[in-house]
Amino acid sequence: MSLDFSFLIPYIPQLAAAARVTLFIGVSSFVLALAVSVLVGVLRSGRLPWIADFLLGVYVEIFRNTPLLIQLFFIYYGLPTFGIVLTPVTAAVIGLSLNSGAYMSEVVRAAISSVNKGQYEAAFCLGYSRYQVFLHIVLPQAFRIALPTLMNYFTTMIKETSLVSVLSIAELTRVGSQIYARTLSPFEIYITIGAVYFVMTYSVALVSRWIEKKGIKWTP
Amino acid sequence: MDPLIRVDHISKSYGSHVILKDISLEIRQREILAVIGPSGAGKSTFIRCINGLEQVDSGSVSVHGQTVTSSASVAGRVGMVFQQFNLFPHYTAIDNIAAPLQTIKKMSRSRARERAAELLASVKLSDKALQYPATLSGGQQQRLAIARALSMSPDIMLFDEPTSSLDPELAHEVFDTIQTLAERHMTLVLVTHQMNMVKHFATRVLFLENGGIFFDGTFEDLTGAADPRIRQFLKKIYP
Repeated sequence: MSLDFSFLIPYIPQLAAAARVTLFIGVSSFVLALAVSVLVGVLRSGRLPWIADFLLGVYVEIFRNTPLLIQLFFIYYGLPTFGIVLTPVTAAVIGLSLNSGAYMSEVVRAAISSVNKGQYEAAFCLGYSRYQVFLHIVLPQAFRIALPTLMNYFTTMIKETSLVSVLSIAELTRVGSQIYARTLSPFEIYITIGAVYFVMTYSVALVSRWIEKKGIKWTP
Repeated sequence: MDPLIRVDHISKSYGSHVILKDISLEIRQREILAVIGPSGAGKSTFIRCINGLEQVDSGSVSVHGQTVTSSASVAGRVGMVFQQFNLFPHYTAIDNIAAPLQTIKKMSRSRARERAAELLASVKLSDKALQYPATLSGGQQQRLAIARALSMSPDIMLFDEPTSSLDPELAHEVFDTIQTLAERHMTLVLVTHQMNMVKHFATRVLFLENGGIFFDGTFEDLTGAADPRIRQFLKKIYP
């Protein structure tokens, strides 16, 4: 068997465009998921009226206990039944961010609850209000605790974008399959696609490690 | 002179476990009160009721005539030093003092840092200003915690076993810092197991047992007491 990647050269612009789509969906979904998870995680750490806590719990459990693929199908094909028609990319970003947001909100909540009780007591004794303690003392410490896990979800999310190919979005996986159909060289094309995913996710891991080492100077 | 702190028939239980039983006491200005007693006697709970970290079940505590309802109601006026320091790990030494001054006292950053630098100097930590708490020794951390509590200009300082988690030579540094407060005639309440600290500082000693006041008097009276329970306790920690 001989490997020849040269046949891929004409497809480089197509692959680059697909990589941009993957990156766009991955990054925007992560940013939204982060917003969702901080909001839900913070709310569920506090004292909420039971109904609000219950509803947020329902959201988290539904998205954690059903397949992402079904969630994407539901959002793209199911929601039009209620008159909500979304473009494939919008449906993909909403699906991915709600799905990861559910998992990540539990990370945020756990990080907040792992901040030592003594931190609250010391701050209250000095005169911090509840809100000030949360903003100035608890959140920065929770951020440090949550960061490695949240960045891990970011790499997972980039890989999960391959699922949105089912919504006929011209992202890496779908474009790869199209090139395969035309060239019938699965080995070369899928190794190339895999390498592009690897570069993306490994870069995220490197950035994450850099933030942990250099960006945060304090240790607990 | 009105007492600085008035503790009026306070009781406190956790579930069916009674911690404090009907304790009444007045603490006057400039008094240095040492609170001693066996583990589980309610010493920590007692001072945590004074600063509102614990809510009393019945009775009341007042500071300067104002009833303590929560830690917020006396925040700043009652300084607290914890056994585990409870420094803010994400702030440098100087910011552990300056940040609360900015947030709570609404001081400008430069004014807060100026005041923090003075306080660091007073606990001999000027050279550690830009270090994070995790890089400081236990003794240095506790001195920083004392300086942070002092930054709010409290009327009284509470110490909850301030040297219990320190090696003896580090405990000595904290001892010296408390000494400077005593020389400035600050009102202090010290929960401690270290009898040398009681002997050296206390103008009054409170012996708590089973949630009640078993003895209230001077150190000399305590060591001269004939009561077998006091003698037995002293034999263990002050042979």
